[in-house]
Amino acid sequence: MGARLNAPFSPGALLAARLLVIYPFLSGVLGMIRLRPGVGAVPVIDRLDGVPDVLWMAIVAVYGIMVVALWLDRGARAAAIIAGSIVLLDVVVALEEYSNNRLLVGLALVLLGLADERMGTWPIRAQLSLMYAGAALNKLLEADWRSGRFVENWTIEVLDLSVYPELADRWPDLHQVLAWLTIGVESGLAALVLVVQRTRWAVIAALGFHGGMLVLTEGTVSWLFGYAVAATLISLTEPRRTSPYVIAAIAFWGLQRVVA
Amino acid sequence: MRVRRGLIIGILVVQVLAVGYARTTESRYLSWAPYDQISFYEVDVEVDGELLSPAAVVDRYPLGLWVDDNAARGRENRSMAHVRHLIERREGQLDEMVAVTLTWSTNGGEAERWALD
Repeated sequence: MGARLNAPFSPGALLAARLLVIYPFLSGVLGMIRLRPGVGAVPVIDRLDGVPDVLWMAIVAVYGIMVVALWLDRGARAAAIIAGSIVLLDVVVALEEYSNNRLLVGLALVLLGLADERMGTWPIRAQLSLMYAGAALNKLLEADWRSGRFVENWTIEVLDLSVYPELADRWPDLHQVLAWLTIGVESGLAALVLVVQRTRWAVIAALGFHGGMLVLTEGTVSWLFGYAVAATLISLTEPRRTSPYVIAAIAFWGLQRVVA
Repeated sequence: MRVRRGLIIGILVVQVLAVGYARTTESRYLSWAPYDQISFYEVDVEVDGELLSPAAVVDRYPLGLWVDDNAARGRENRSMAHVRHLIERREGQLDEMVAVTLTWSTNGGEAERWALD
């Protein structure tokens, strides 16, 4: 296993890992992995509260080294596994900071590092499929989603959007339509992302879905998750040039700034 | 190769199990359930019979609470079970004589209440 970790990334996987590993720098104060123990995923983690801060700082420093290693393509696979593991550690040591965004970033980095050319893209495809299928299933089983009540309460009462309420006044069923559209799109993406021959359609559909959500919620939900998904999807492609995808990632940020 | 394939399969299987487990509980960790519910809640805490100020409640729990209308308030985007779980675990860490009252409304519905003594 150690020798195989020196195997080179595919261009798509390397670019994806590079974009994913800088996610923490985009997502918060200083953007760094927090790694401050809080309420752990299991009680035994709470005992880590006594661990000296210097150890946590050392782990954060290791993460920084892995970022550099990935961008310099030095031991990139191992760097992706280590960086992803640190992100996942950050998730489990403080459940109050639980975030699906960071969960995806951590899992995608680890899977990109573990997969090799013989496995192809199936680990990432399976991960994305699982993510969308889980999201669709959870919504499908929520009565408030099926009735459209969640969408109505969220868009009008919680987000206090400016445009959507006018549309909803004209079309009273809009809440329910959007709810079922969301469930349908997520279900479709769960299947589409597994079909290698339809990769381009999956990428377009996913980016359209997350971009559409960003516009509908006037910049609230969620350029960060859209960025994480876009970066992960890049691993399914073989980009000849870096710039279109970097531009796409930046476009998500710009779109959020425009509509927010 | 086998080890790596096994790890990959293990990572995916854990998530499948988590999605399945989410069907049997209110918890939504690891089950890919973002924005299934939007709940707004209020927390009141008594320690040794004395009611804590809203600011003290905000400091007590790592829930991103804020003070509004003289109450400690919060928002949860996945499941109120997470809030209850975090309060229980935090009180376990503090190990004090405490009475916690959590009042919330999910998706604009009727108010619900939970108490921890």
